[in-house]
Amino acid sequence: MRLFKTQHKTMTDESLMQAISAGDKRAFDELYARYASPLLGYFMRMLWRDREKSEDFVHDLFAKIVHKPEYFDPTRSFKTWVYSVANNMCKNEYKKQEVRKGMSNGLDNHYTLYDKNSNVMNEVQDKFFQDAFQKSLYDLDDKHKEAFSLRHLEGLSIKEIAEVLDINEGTVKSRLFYATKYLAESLKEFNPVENR
Amino acid sequence: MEKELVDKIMDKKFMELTSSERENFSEWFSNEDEFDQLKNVFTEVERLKLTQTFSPRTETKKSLDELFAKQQEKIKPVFWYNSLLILIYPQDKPVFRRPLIQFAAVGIILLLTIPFLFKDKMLVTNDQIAQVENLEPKEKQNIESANKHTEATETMDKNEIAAERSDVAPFIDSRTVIDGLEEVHINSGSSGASVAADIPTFAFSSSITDSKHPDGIYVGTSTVAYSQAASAEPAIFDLLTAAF
Repeated sequence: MRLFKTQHKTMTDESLMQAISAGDKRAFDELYARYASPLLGYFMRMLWRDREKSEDFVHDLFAKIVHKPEYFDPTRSFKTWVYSVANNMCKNEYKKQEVRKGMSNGLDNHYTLYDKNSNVMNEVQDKFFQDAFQKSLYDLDDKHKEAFSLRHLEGLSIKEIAEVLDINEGTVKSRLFYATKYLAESLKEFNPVENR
Repeated sequence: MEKELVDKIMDKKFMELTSSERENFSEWFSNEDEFDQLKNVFTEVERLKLTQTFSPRTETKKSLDELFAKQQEKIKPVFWYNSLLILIYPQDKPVFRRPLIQFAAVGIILLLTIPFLFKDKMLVTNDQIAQVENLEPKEKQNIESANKHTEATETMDKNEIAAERSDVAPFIDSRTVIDGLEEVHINSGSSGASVAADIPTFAFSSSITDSKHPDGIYVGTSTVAYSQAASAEPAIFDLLTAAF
């Protein structure tokens, strides 16, 4: 019997996964608190801002953790592992939808530029720029978009992205470079910096 | 390098960059317009990170909690007695908030406190030092009469006993048993007189078992005998010592 309370908040992600394997419910709650929101944002960006689908994907991902915690290799980083699982889920969804290839200029019917539940549109003068940015982000190719999202929006390092996408670091850097240049080029007619 | 690029773009204007910095980042931007475009992108990214925070629905968490509980039931089947254990020793609560631990702590505190609560009562001592035996009136009367006889005998025979002791050690002349009492005739030397029935007789009774004195010397009449210390009767003391 432990004499002292287990501080789940100070435990690493890998330790929490081991505790979950042992049946610790509070460890699962802590892990969910850490990764549910970031994963939902990732799915929202990768799945055309489809809220319902993104919620389902979050549920399915954590259900996998509940049912098969042994799938996680404790020697690996949990963060890279969970994002690699999320990325694979998105790829499978793309294959199902088969709508990403061949799109050059327009919005797909799955596209919803506006998240009705968000409070993004606060400043009128940046409204069009923000719309254009997000459109351009979604117009990106999948591999470039996931590299850009993981790096700048999820905060993963180059090394972690390489691990998630199962590519080398040089490839990650080149994808990031291309995505950044593409976005900058597509938004060149906007200069919100000058207006601020 | 990319992080350094982002930091430089966000912190500085194009004109503030040094020539070495512009050269290092030449593949990213070559003029101020490209620099500003990159700045727009990274600024919008930062804004997205701050504003686009999504929170899952509570139903999602509830569903996952149910899944977790079912999964644990499969792994560890719950028996009926586990229900009581879960009630008094829940795993999802801190140790000090589990009822079983709290009951045990209260019990330990009570065990340690009770001796101090009743300390005053425990220390109340019995003031009685000695106990006086309350004899029955009849026994008391017999003892008093026996003591009177003993005193009279001592007074009467004191000189005789002293003289006999100096001359000849008394010895048992004869023994007779009358009414269960053994009458001892003591030959006290020149006199050789036997003990009369009306004067105190030194007798040994096997029927009287409750002697109050360790010597077990009984004095009294043939029908009534009482115990007395041997030292109170020099004659019988000498007799005993002579016999043994």
